[in-house]
Amino acid sequence: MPVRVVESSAPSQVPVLLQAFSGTQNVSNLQKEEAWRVNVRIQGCDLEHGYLCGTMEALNVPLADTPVVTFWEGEIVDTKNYAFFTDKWEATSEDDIRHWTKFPSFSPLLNQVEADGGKSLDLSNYPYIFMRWKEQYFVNVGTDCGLTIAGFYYVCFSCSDGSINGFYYDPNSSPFQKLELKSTSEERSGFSSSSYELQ
Amino acid sequence: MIEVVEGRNSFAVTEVEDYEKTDKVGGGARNHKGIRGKVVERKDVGRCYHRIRDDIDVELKRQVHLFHFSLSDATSNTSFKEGKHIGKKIDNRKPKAIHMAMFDSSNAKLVSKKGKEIVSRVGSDGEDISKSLDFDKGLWLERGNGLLDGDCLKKGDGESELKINGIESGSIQACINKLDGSELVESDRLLSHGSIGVGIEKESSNSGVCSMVEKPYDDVMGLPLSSSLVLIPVEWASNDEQLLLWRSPPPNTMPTATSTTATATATATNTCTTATSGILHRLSSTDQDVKLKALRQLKNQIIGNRTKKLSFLKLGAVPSVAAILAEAVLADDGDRNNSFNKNVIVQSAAVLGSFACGFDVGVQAVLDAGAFPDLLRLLSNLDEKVVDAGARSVKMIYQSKLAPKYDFLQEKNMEFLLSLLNSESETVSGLGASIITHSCKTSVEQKILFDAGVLKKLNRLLKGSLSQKDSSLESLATIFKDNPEVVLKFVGSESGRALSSIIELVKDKFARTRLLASLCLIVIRNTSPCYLQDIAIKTKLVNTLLELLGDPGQVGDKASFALSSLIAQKEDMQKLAFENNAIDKLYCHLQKDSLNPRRFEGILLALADMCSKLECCRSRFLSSQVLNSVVDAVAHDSADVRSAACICFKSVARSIQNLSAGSFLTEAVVIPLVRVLDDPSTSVQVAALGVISNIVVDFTARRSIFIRCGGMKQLVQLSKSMDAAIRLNALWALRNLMFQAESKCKEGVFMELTASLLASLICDPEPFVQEQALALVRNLVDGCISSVEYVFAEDGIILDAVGRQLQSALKAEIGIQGMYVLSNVATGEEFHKEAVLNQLIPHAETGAQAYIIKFLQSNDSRLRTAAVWTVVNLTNSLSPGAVDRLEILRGAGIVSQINNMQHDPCLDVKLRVNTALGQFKTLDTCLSHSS
Repeated sequence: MPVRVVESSAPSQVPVLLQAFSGTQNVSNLQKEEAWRVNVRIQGCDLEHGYLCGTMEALNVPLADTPVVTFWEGEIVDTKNYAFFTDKWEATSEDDIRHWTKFPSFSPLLNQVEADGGKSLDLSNYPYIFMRWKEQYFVNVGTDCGLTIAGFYYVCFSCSDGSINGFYYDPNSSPFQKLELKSTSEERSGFSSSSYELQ
Repeated sequence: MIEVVEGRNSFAVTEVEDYEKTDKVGGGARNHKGIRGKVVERKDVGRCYHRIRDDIDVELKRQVHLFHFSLSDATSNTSFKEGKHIGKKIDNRKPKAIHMAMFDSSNAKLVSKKGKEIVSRVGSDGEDISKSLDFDKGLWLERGNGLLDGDCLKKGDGESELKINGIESGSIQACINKLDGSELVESDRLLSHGSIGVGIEKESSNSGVCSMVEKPYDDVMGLPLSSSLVLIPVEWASNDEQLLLWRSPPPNTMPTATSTTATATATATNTCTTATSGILHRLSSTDQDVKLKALRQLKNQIIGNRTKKLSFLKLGAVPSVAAILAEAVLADDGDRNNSFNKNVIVQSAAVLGSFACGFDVGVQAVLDAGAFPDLLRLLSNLDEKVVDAGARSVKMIYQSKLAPKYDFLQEKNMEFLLSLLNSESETVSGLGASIITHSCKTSVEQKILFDAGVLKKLNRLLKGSLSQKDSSLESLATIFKDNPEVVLKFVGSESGRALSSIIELVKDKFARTRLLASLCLIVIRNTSPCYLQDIAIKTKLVNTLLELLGDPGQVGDKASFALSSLIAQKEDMQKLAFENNAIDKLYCHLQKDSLNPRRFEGILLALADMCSKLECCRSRFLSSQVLNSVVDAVAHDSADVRSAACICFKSVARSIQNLSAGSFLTEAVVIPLVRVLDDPSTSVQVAALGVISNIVVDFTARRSIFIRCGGMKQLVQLSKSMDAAIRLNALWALRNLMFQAESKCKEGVFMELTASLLASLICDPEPFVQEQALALVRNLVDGCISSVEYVFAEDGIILDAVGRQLQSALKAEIGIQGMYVLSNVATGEEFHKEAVLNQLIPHAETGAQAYIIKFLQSNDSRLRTAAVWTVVNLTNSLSPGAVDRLEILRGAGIVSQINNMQHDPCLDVKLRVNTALGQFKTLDTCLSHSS
């Protein structure tokens, strides 16, 4: 279902129109083919600060009794708050380019990003939103669950079809683990939404 | 009655009378003027009163009261019982040296020279001095009570210490050290400001004789004899009255139980009543001498004593004094030699001023008695003393809200005001500034004051005495407030020198001046944000206010409010304050025992502003355990504190990170919050609903805790409140509680609310309530498909109400939430979609324009998006129903409207329009195939 993540609004509001996604994360490596089912909920958004956050639930994680839920915070690459170059989390600019170019929607921007890091780009009307999602903590399990959240995701959200693609980056994990999500609308014929507003 | 307070005992002086006598000293004479009276000791309040025969000489001439009596419990007892002479003669000459410094003795510890905390030390009289050193109740140190040189009082906060020296030699000196080493202030460079602190008197050359105090401030302050050092609890002292003595402590600071205190007060009142009516009687005497004496007595009795003021007020003293003043003013012939009549004027004006000081009932009585015009007339008198007395009294009145408004628009009034400001007299120019602070309210008045050149006069006062600086700063802030035009002209005037002098005063040595200068700059910044952007000034302001939080008196109470106005809504300032450890410092002050409610409230509100925007502030706040104190404060005795605690919590609970972790929904938090929903104060209820609105946006499965604690039922009850603010906030909380809620949770809420209540809330007279009610319904019908049925309960009264509101929607937000209700319902079964279509196009046959067209053409892109979404959901399936619906939409002009929106400036709208057009195409193809 095509949707955009947020409606623009007064700063005190955190309106999230698009809330739920589900899909898979491919964690295959040389030894085995493997994919986890993943549900993502977006819970907060503050466009002014280029901030987005939510939870990610991994369902069929081996060795885990329950689905594993993590809380993540996202940086929206808006060229004001955040740039395409990560400059942290052990990611070099080469790593950045290598991951961003995996998204076809990034290719029209590549030259400019290579020239000036993309500072001069106005992405506010671009039908794709680029982000980095960094998991911050485990919500329902301890840190001893055998999973790591050391890395982060390069993410591309399509405003026109509401799909999310991402690549997990962690120098110590298998490279280019692909995250593929689609907006869920349960059994409804159309797209339904809730909203909250903080005071 | 004048009360003298020392550590544990309170000494009262009664039967006060004026006296004058001359001593022969050497070849000349020394004149003593003042009042004297008898001392009543209130030892162990409520138990006994000892009358002491010996007179006490009291000098009242300016700011002095002088006493001497033995201080430790043991010796004072002895001397009273034996009826020994406890008063000493007073030397009326200027003091050799008096030094005072700020030192709040609460939470202080007495530490010996070697750094050991002194638990007990036996004084020279055998008394354990640790008992008489009761810092919280005041402390009187003197030679012989066991203190040694090098002892010092150390504050618990580790910020400052007061070191005692010279006590053994009989010339006490003290110095206050800042422990961080940044400032070392020696006693002889210290001056008291504001309420009080330490009085230190160096040995004077005519030792054994008391000297008087030269006070830099109008406040009351008394000082003891040489070789003694007094610490007075700060809360005892505060006022603006000039004549001074120790103030009576407020009843709750008396060290005995309430019941005995009550008895004591009753006895004291009885003792006084005779004297009270006697004075009134003498006021109406035809003997002028008697009358004048009675005025003086009255003045001395009521100064600083609210109870006395009230009892004289009830006896009708104010009209009597007003009549005496009126008569004396009439009789005043401008003859400078008629000193007797002048004296009557001065005394009666002083009495009226004292009634008005810090006491609104008194102000009203003075105004009712018609004395105000007479007092004003005194300002044009030729005699300085008369002018001064008049100015002082009028100023007292202008410090109250009840004072008549001064009309600046009248030319002669403005001239008069300028003459006041031009006056050399501190009191008179201060009055001018007070009038401005009191009466300047509108931008017209601000402009006219500016045009009349008032700012120049006030600038001049900034270089004047302490009280002139302070009143000038207050007036300037009043003239600047919300008036960018005046601020612009001021900042540019004298090539910025005027502004610089205010900036300079932020570093003044007096705390009150620093506060007022900071407030003035804050007004300038908040009025014209382009000024004072210099990082050094901003940092100085932040740090000054944080430091002033430690001031034990009113300045400290106000500092947190000033900090709030500096940082509210300003992320850059919040960040700066954060970098200067504001959260930790505020928390540190919050932890102090026995905070007064005003100060408590201020600190909570400042924390609320600190945490209103930045996550770094919130996580610092949450890591410091301060939330526990805030939750405790939700049950505080003062409604203002309860409300501030909720506002603070609300601000912190904006942290999505913590909402996601479910940090807030615990029983320890929810139970007090649900309890306070029943609060008698509406503002507390609203603030509590605000916190709840935030914390129920919990993304873990903890909402059940809130429901189990009875919170949900309370919210439903409050949504029926007569008060619109409560309805609004209760619905807001329910709406957030229903955000992505589980079906079971929704069912519970819907059962409790009922369809008819929801329908009536959607049609609430208050638009904000309508919006929240619609948003609540939107969330209710989201999620599990069966929840769509909620709007069809009771013959669809909810859906009908939504339709009605959309037709008449006055606010875009109502349209948005209403359209999302329809949009969500339109994701249901065919039947649901049909019902939405019927709501959208009620008059399809009549040809009237559907309201959705208006929404699609709205300037508000959020509303356009919501409207397009509804159309998308109505036309998204391939059922025959969708084809028919498209035809109806086309007939109503909606399809062509959407066609026109392909190049909408808002990306969001444009993308949704593309989706809709794609679906239309599919349906049209489908139709042409089938036909």
